[in-house]
Amino acid sequence: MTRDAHVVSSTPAPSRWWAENAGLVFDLSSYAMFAVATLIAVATFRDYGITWDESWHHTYGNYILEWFRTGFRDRSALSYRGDYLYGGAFDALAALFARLVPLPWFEAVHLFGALVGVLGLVAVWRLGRVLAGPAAGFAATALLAATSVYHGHTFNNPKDVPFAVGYTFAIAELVEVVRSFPVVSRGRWVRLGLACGAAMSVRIGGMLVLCYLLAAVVGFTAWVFVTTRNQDLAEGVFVRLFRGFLGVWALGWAVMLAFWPWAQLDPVRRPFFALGRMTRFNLHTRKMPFGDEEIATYAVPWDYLPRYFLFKLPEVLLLLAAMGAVFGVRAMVRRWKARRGGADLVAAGCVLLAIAFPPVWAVVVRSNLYDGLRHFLFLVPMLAGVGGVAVVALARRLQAAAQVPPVALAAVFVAWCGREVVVMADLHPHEYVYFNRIAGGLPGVLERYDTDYYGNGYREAFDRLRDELWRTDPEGVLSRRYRVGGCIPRFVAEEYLRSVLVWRERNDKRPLDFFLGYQRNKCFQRHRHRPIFTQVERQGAPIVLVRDMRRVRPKAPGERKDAGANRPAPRPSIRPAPQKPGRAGKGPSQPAGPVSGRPKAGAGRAPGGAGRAGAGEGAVGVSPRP
Amino acid sequence: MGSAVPETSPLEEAHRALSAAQGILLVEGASPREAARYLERARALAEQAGLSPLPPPPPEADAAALAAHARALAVGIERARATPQVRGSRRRRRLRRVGAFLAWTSPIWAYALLTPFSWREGPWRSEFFPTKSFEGESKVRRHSDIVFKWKKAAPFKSFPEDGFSARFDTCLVLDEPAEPVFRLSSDDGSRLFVDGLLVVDNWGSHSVRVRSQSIALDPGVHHLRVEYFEHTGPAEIELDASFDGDRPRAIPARLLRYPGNEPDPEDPCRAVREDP
Repeated sequence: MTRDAHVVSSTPAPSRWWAENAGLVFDLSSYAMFAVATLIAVATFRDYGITWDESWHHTYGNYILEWFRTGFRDRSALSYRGDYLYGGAFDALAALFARLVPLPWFEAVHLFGALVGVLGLVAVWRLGRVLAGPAAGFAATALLAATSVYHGHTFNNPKDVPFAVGYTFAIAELVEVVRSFPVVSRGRWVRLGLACGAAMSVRIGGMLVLCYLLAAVVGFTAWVFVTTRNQDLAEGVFVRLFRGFLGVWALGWAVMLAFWPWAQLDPVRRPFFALGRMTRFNLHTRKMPFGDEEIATYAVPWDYLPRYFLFKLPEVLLLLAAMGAVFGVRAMVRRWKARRGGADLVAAGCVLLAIAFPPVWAVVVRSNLYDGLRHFLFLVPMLAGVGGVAVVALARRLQAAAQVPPVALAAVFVAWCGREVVVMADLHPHEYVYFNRIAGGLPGVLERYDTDYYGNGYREAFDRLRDELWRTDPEGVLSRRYRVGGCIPRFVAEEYLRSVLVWRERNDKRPLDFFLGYQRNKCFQRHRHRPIFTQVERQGAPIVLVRDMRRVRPKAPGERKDAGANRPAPRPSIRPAPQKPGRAGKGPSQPAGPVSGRPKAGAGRAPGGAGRAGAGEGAVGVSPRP
Repeated sequence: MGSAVPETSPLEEAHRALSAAQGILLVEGASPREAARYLERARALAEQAGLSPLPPPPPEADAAALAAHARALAVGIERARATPQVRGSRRRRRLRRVGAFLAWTSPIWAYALLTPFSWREGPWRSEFFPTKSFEGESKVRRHSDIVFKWKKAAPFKSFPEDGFSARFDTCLVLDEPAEPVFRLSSDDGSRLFVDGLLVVDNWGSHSVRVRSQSIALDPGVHHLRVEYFEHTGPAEIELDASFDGDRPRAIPARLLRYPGNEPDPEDPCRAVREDP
């Protein structure tokens, strides 16, 4: 994170060719990584489910397009839920993309989100590169690409990932600008303005980057004054830089407003109003597990965010980010003592501020928090960027101190990233439920921390239910439909149902056949007296449980007959039994509960049990041939 | 990685230091000492980058003299930056550009490589009629799958919400004998013909109802036709098929061919048969 880091060391180079071409090799390797990430995105985007926020944001995106298409007459976007408080750049562009490509709506939006996620890799590469050159850019890209929580969110998170991408680009541009203080080319100011606007056009919190820029201007002016004791010079520098800051603000503001109809009607006051609302965000109030206790979203303990960052990021990323921060602080102290490199000192300060300020602020003001670190996902690329710098600095130090060849460290680094990629493949397509080994992996946090808070697991749960039905009751599948319920909105569920399953209407008094529960709001603990028909699981831990509502599970010894979801014990836990080490099964799951009453395949009787009619009774003829 | 890597060239650093010096000198009342320090750093870096020795800034020079010195230094540095031999070979620059181009265009070619043709052009020819007796001015579309849930809406704005019909045609191409099970679910009536033979009969006015039937098929091209009508209330239709004992799902697009915009009424799959 220092300019010193760029200067070629005096230690002998391994070879002239490497010395001349290393930068090119790292850059081309980074490009190759972008291409591979794109391939993976295009090959896998259909696997991901629809998350809570997506439907709202995509409706909002359509309203924004209608706002423009109707010449500002369709005013739906001005009052749509709480979404009007968000800039709608991603939503509107995603809606436009979905209209252009011949794919089902949500699949198109998932593809678009995934491509924006790849842009996030480009952003972190740029950040690492401006901080410490092509090697750091490559390392930062690899670190982020191997971070499950980022990759998993890119496909179906319509606000946190796009914001993270804009924020990272903006910080990279900010570092470029600050390091060229006091003479900044117009092109750099413009790029910073565009990046700030991109961040703010997703979440108004992107205004933070403008605050960092202002802090950098003030900080550099102070540096000039302290080192020269020349007040006129300091004033001149401040005026010059402040002018640039105003230009960045104006350009960023214009970009932000482009896709934000509600703010367009009062461009000066409304963005600040939205900022005020967002800092006191209280639209979601509910209970959630946190360690051994149950907490409310509006009264989270101070260690909520730190603990989630500690548990949800790969250990290698945590370690390298911490080292990068230490290296950065040490370099800043060195520069301060030597009274040189003021611009670099301020730039490093900006990066550390961009990482530390948001979570510290959230802790201090006790913000409403939920869904783990989802709202602070924008810090993950920043940590990867700093981690990339740490890799380069570490390689240099190890070589200088212990003659450890850089290639050895590179091998360890690649192996560590490769291990994380294997874990991601194991979790696919639920990468965001990842917990590291400090937390004990997914089984270690079951019922203790939020895992599938976004409902991504439902798609696979419906698939598994259909597979299991076909395996156990093929005649029923060919002749009727099964009524299902769960903890997701009907319009989301209908995207998964096809004709074998039908969502039970709220006013439908007929009983359910199956209930699908995930972990949010303890949904998977409902109907515990019903046996588990099938489940979605990873690493041996369930993500979504499908309960067979047609049967009653035999009671466990000492269990009350009416043991409900919120009653105290005794109850059977869904926590998996301790497993042998090794990769947990991801294939067709076995029912975790007793299923003794399940009908046999091809038994030739109504599968609803007890002679109950299905939602759509029908006839099946399996043998006659025309 | 590490010390062997020239992450940012000394020339670029020199340019940066020079810019800083010039910036300080631009400000009225600038400190010549600070500017001179930057100039010295720029000069040293330029030398490190392989430029011929440049004269150091004159000692105790005032702002004007330093500015003149900076201009002279700038000429050398800018010329060097523009020269490929100093910045890096032309081949390296070209490689970098090609790599960047491939990376930036990767979404396009990844999409082209990995997207099955079925996503772009569906193999089903769908013809919609504004009456429930397959009459009136029809609209023809292509679809990849027969799964429609109109609920209480009409398929097109110009169509009625109730009392419309549709006919779906495609050609099933089999390389070996198969005995698929077709599953037809609809509200209201629907029926499936294979080579003109009624296989699944789900006809009549009713709420969602499921009918299934298996049929033995020889290798070759088979015409599939689904007819559907909506009488009143919600409207939906879905066709699934089970091949090789798998659970019923949409018929794989790799087995289907589009019969053409104007298929032969006598043999709708003639074009596919003649040009497989």
